[in-house]
Amino acid sequence: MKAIPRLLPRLLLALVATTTAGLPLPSAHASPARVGNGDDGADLEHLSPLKSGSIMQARDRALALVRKLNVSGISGLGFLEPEIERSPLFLSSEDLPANLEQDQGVFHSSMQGKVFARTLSEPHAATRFYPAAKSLHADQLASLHIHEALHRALPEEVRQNEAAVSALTLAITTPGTTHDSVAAVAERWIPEAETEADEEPETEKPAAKMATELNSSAGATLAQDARVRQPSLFSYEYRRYNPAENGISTVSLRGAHVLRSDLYPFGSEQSTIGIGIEGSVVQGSSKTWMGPLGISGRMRLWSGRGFDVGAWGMVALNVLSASELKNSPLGRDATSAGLSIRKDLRFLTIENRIGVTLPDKAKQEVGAVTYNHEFGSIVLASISAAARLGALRIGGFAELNLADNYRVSGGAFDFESGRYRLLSGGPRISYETLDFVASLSGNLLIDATQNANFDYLGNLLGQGSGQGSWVASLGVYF
Amino acid sequence: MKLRRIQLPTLLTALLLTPAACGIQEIVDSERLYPLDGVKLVKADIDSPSDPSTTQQPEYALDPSARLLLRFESLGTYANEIRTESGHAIEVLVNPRVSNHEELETVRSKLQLCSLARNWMMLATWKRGHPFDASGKWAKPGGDYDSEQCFQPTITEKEELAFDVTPWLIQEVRGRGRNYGFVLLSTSSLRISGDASGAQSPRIRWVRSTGIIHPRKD
Repeated sequence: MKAIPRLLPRLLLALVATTTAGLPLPSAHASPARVGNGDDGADLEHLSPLKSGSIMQARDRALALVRKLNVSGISGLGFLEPEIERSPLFLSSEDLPANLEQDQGVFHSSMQGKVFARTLSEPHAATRFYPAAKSLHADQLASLHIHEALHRALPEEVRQNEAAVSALTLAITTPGTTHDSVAAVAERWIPEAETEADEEPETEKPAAKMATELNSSAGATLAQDARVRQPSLFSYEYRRYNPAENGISTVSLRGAHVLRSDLYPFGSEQSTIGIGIEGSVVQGSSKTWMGPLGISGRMRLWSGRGFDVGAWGMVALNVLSASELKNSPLGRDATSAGLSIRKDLRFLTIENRIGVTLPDKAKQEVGAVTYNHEFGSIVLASISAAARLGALRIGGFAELNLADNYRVSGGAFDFESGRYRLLSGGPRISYETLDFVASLSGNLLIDATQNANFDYLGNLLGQGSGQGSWVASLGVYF
Repeated sequence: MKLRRIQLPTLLTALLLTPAACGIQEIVDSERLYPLDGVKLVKADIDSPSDPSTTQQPEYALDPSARLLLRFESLGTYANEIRTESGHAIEVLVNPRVSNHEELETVRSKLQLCSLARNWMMLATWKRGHPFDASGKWAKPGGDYDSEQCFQPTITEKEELAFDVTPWLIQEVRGRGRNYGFVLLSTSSLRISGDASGAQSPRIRWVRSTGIIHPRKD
């Protein structure tokens, strides 16, 4: 007992040192330290403690809400209330662009790409607010307090999981929510105690744990793999075709409206398996037709060292097409399969795709003569790269289609192309968050053997038609 | 019933052996008349290869900038059974839209049918024989034809125009094994019955050796 008074000063010193190491003090001019959600500490300057104002009032509002819901009584959320109440609050003198991947969540940054707030995902850490947060109204600020506090209050395995934190924030702040509904969401996202979790099969519940494993194996930040947890996509896109000067189709195609839904209900977090459906309406010069129906399967095979490897397969069926489309080289069923490999760097995304389209046939009647179009197998290789500026991605791609043969025969006419290539490429600009994507891209023919064009491939939903196409799309990830 | 089964083969054998026993006396010919299935209008002001007005029409308007590509697509399979000796000929028949014999005479002097020198398909246009690669482009817009092998028509009893293309059959189809068909040229504006005009449509006619042996009727 006598030793305790002697050790007390040392213990206090150690406690103070430990606590201050976690605080974003303005005096941190030393070499860049890895603080906050993984940033380099450059944004620590010019912070002033918050004592009053709308942000402080919003904290009281947040506290009242979590107390009303008795969130402290929910397993895994016991530290939320003290984290909201006691976290030191600072206000930065200037806005920061949302450059970091972890800034991309809807609670962290504005549509203008400015950060609202950041915190260190550890208990008792301070919360830094940025001037952009002042534009939020009281309810939004209260949600922001809860969201940031959740990053500190949740168990270690899940506190960096942006999807889990967002889901819990929504569960707490949704109007009309109850203690039970918050508890249900918490049960879904927060893992049980480790000893129990070890005995459970891998389901959606230990998603955060899985993500952490991916994170550790990849050596990258967790948010870079956020798409793993929200791979499903519902999107609309409009394709504008550039018709070929010497078109081989009897229909003149101007564009296509494509509705796409990729759902990933199967597999684990590490290897999601999804089925997609693409429905299309094709625009001609004077009328529209029901276009091909695409059925696709996608599977995330492996993730590691920052690489995502996926497999895909697609069948574009023309069974629902109008007779005009059936009676053209585009009237074939195209079956394709391949692999994609993607690497997300801090400011760059690179993706390679390889694939094969199986041989097939189509018939075309022109006047009284029937022509048989025989498509050889096609090998596809594409490289794409995009610079990442916050949620904005600017880049392009190059694609090579190498086809074995293309033969047209009918009556006394016979044409055989032999092996031919189609080299295409174009720009791609997209705005992509965890939940939303909008993009504009072009796939334009650069070079081809024997004046070939995309009609030779007969895959309207795949490579398209004519000299290429421009594509605008809007989608929601979930 | 047993008797019938025995008698039928015997009768057939006897039937076949009878002419042979008499010696080869005569080969019976039969006329063959087929509508041309490859009928395509190429016109200087129509660029679309699939323009609906260029095929399956009841009539076509021809002039120096509008020509008709004609071909019997499966001629190659009949090439060796067509009789070309002893005054037999293979003819392409077309029906101009005229109201009397004088008009037909006028039209006759303005039409000629020339052998095409490059392959084409039903997506042909004024500029191209087909849309595939460089070989599809006509060297001369309107179709590459052999001016040494152009045929003038005669007027038949049925007031049709008949082009005797026997030299073309012998040289191109039998000799070179190619059937590129013809282009119908007009030096002035006139109308020709099209492939959707039934019995008036462009046709091809020849005499076919049946190979059936008949006794001579002396």
